[in-house]
Amino acid sequence: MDPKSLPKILYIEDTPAARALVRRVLARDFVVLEAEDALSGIELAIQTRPDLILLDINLPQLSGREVAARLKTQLPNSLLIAFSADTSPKARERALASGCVGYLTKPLDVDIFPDQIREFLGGKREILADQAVHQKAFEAELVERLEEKVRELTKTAERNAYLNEQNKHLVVVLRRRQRLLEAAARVSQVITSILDLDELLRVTVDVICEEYGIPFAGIFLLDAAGESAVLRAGSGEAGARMVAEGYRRPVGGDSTVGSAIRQRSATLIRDVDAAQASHNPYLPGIRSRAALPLIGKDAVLGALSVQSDQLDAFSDDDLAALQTLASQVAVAINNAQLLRDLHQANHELLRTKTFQAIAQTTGETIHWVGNKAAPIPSCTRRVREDLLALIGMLQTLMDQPPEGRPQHPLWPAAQAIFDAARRDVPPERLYGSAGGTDAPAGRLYVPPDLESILEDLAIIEQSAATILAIKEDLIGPVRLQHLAEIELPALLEQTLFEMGLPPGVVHTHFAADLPSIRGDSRQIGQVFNNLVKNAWEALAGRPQPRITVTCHLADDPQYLLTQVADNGPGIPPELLDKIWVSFFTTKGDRGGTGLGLSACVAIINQAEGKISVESQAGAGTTFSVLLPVSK
Amino acid sequence: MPKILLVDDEPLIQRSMQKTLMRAGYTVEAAGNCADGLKRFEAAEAGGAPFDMALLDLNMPGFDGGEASGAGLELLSRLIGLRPDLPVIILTAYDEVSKVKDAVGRGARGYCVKGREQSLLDQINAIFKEP
Repeated sequence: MDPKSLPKILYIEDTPAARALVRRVLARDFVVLEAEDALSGIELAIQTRPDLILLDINLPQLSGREVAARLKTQLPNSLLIAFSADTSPKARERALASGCVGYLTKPLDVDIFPDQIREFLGGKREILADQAVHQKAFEAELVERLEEKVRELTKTAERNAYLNEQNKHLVVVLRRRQRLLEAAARVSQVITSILDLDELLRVTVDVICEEYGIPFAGIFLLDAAGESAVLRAGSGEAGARMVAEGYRRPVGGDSTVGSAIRQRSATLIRDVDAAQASHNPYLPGIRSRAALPLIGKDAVLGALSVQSDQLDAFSDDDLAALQTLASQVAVAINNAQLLRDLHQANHELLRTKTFQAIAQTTGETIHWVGNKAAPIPSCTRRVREDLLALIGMLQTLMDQPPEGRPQHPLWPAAQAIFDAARRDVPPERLYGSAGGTDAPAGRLYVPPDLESILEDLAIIEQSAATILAIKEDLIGPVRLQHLAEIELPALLEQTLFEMGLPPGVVHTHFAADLPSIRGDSRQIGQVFNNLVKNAWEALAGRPQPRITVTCHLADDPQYLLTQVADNGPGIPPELLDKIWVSFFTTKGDRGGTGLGLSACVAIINQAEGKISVESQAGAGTTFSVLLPVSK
Repeated sequence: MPKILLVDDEPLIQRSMQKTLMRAGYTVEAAGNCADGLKRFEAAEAGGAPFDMALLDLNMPGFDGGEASGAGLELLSRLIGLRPDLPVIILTAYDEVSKVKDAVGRGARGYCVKGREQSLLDQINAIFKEP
């Protein structure tokens, strides 16, 4: 049989198993089309115009009855049969009211189902009693459904509008977050690529201003005393001017920077006017500001200040991001400081090494020279004694009448000397003509100038004594130490007193109740004597010479810090390292062996202390000595 | 007159010191290394004319002949070992703190920086004046 001549059945059903069953039961006698939902079912019906449409009633989206109503308007001649498991009362009536002309109940009976279909195709129609009543009920139901749909749609629309708003807000927040992230990324890039702290801070404030679109950002660092925060970098011209003029905020004050540092947390002023906060004369038109503490490894280092010309410009998000940024800056500052300390330590190590190498060489040299010079003073003394004895002997003999001399007890000794002279001294020297042109043969030539001989001997003795003194100066620091408890201020007072400098020159400031140190008071005293002497010599011819000696506990309370400062001409930077080296002296021919400072270093090193110098051309020089307090 | 043994390997220093001490009235025998110094000391002990004091340099050729830092310390110990009450003065060019401490620990009476012969003489005189 030609399939085209078979009746076309459309089955609209969402359950695949049900569709498969109907297909199997009807396939032999009918062309079975299938749709799995209401809308595609309606579409397929309009396209294919089936001879009969089997409708599941319990469909998602639209119910089978709604599909029926719809198809009735689109395809007025279509044959609609409800096929439902709904056995509730009036289910048949409701289906018929919606436009169906038959109602078949599930489950289907395979034996009769094709015949039931055929009956409807053949013209069977189920008649609904009280058609009007059921029709009305169905219409009411439709209206209700419609209302429900409208409500649903309105709700959806509202929800969409809300979601839209939400999205917009999220986009704004995300954009801002992204900007913050970019700022943080730029700052961290800057931080890892710039080692110079000042440049790092400058770039950081510029990046923050740019990324946040604010007129001012600044970074304050605590001063050494921790009492005020000094602006180290500020954006724009105002920032540069504030930095140049040493702009600072007291930590104890009520500025945002001061509070942020004191409280170790972000401080925010949403409305500068409303808060009656002070206006910064450098930054007119600021309406809100915030400060974030720079918290380093173990201490607050300063604060990051941000200022805006908008009210309430900084959100919680902003503050969180800025705080992250501030922490990065703090890490960078720590790093920069570590680097600086490392440089300094390296420098010091190099200085110590250089000093040690030079000290060893000069030490060995001096030792050798000193060793060779060691016998000179004694030898000279004996020569002088012997010379004077010889002269005395000759004098005694000369005082005798010539004929009596050979009988004198000294005569054999004199003859022995003359014999030795004849044996050891070349004849031309012995009988030389210098000064005595007609010296008789056989007579010893006696140099006429005894004073000159004695003077020469004194020179020899003096020179040897100097060599030995220098030797002992140089290796002096390693003399046996006489260790004792030392009250440093008392020792300083005594040393200064013994130096007898003119009144008004030396100013002292010693902290009270300092712990004692342990050392050799003569050596330690010598160090400060040396430093004060150097300072005094540097002040020669300067107006209002002033030497300040201070002593107090160092930052590390294990040490006492003593400083000797002068207001002299300062030491040029290129000479600053050389002053520690033996034999280096800036005093020219004004004296000084150049051993003073190297001896000081050796003494302080031996005492396990530290000595350092800072000098500023034209402003003066400060020597700092750290000595460990005794345990 | 007290008899002193002087051991120093620097001939000029040794001779100058010897002259200074002899002029001050002491009998001085000089040796230029540890082995010679010990030999002279033992010979004097055996001969019944022992030394009354020894002056020892610290850095000089050791008993094995090589230059040794602190060889004088070993000689010091041997001399003190032979005669525990022997006054010994250490001669040092450097002020070698640790070695001097070591020497004092081994029984030396004192030390003297070379080149200061007058103070050495004072020190020796003081020791012989002791009751």
